[in-house]
Amino acid sequence: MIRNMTSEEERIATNIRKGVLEFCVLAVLARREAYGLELAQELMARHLTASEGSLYPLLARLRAAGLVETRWDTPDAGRPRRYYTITEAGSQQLRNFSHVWSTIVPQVGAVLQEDS
Amino acid sequence: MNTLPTTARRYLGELEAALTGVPAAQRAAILDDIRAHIADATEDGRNIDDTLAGLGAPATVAQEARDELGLARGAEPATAAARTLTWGAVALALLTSAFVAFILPTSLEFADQGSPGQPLTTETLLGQFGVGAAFLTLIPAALAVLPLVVPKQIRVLTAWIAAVATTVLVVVTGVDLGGFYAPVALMLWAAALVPAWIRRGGKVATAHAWRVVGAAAMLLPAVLVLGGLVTGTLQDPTPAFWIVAIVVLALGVLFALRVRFVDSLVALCGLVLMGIGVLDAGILILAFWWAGGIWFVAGFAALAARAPLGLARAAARMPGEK
Repeated sequence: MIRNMTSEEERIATNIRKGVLEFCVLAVLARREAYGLELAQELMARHLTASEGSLYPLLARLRAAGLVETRWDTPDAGRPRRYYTITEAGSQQLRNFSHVWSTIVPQVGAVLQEDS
Repeated sequence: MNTLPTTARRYLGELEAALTGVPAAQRAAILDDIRAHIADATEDGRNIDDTLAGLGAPATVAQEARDELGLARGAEPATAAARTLTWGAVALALLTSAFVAFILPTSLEFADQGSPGQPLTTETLLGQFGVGAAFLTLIPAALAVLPLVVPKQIRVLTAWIAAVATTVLVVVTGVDLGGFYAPVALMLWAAALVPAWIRRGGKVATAHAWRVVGAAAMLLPAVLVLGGLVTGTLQDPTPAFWIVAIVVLALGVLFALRVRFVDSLVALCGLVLMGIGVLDAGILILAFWWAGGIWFVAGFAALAARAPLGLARAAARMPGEK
């Protein structure tokens, strides 16, 4: 599915990603807690964000909104790490999104097929 | 984190500076996360330049942080304050030029005897020396506009240069007409200092100190006049004089106390004072012009500095670390 996009396609993709990135972050965290780089790498690998730097302002907002929280993991050897975990409010928000998404995607697909 | 390479430390420094207006808790969290991101990526064997490129420019990350947290959209706070104040300086410089070239008599010698306050010559600069000299009065405006037109990278430096150059010009030509540009120089210093203060985190204590300095400068003329009363230089004050003196003192104190709406009122009073200087001050023209200039710049600078702080306070507070 991923090929080199034209600049117009890139612009469309950027706009769509912007709307869904926070829910993708919640979805990843719903499976397992993760620290910053893990999250960034997963989102990059899935081409869900073009810039790793966007993740951290987003996490700051999700945390301020109480959708995620953090805990410090202090291993015996090595640096302490801040792990992000999803909260109950975050899970609820993810269910809301999941419901909306599952109604939008088939409709978009259908309307595109009718069009062509 | 001294283990980080120089490029990474420079990136974090720029990011910290660019995150102005973001509440302290969020700013610290973002910086911590990105510092850890860089350290983790380096441990994984990723090239440091690739890691930094992948994060995006510090200014972009900072703007995203402001967008996410519902803070100032558009211009970054320090830049916005710099722009506002520099435009203020340009407007003030143009106003001064118009006044100096078209209204003010070139000679400020007044008859000692006879009718005081009556200038010996009523010829203006334009009338006496022609259009060329009138253009010379625009030099401070040209200096003031410089920081707005140079490339982005040297804008901050140019703001300081414009402030210094205009100050030198005022001092060198002060005995002639240059003295009238002192408020412009003052505004250009504000245009350099206020953004520098915002970039350094906009510390409230520093702001209070500057306010007290501003209030002291504002009250200086009033204190001098009252001193004149005490020593008998000035005699038989009218009731109107007392009302004005009390209002002035009250405004100065309220300004120092950072009471809302006082900033605009102070700036407005400054303009009125300068106007009185132009229209009706006789030999006190420069005194009124300077006093008004100090009030206008103090009020205007306080307004420009207040905006980003207000936005930062309005932001959602961050829940504590679990």
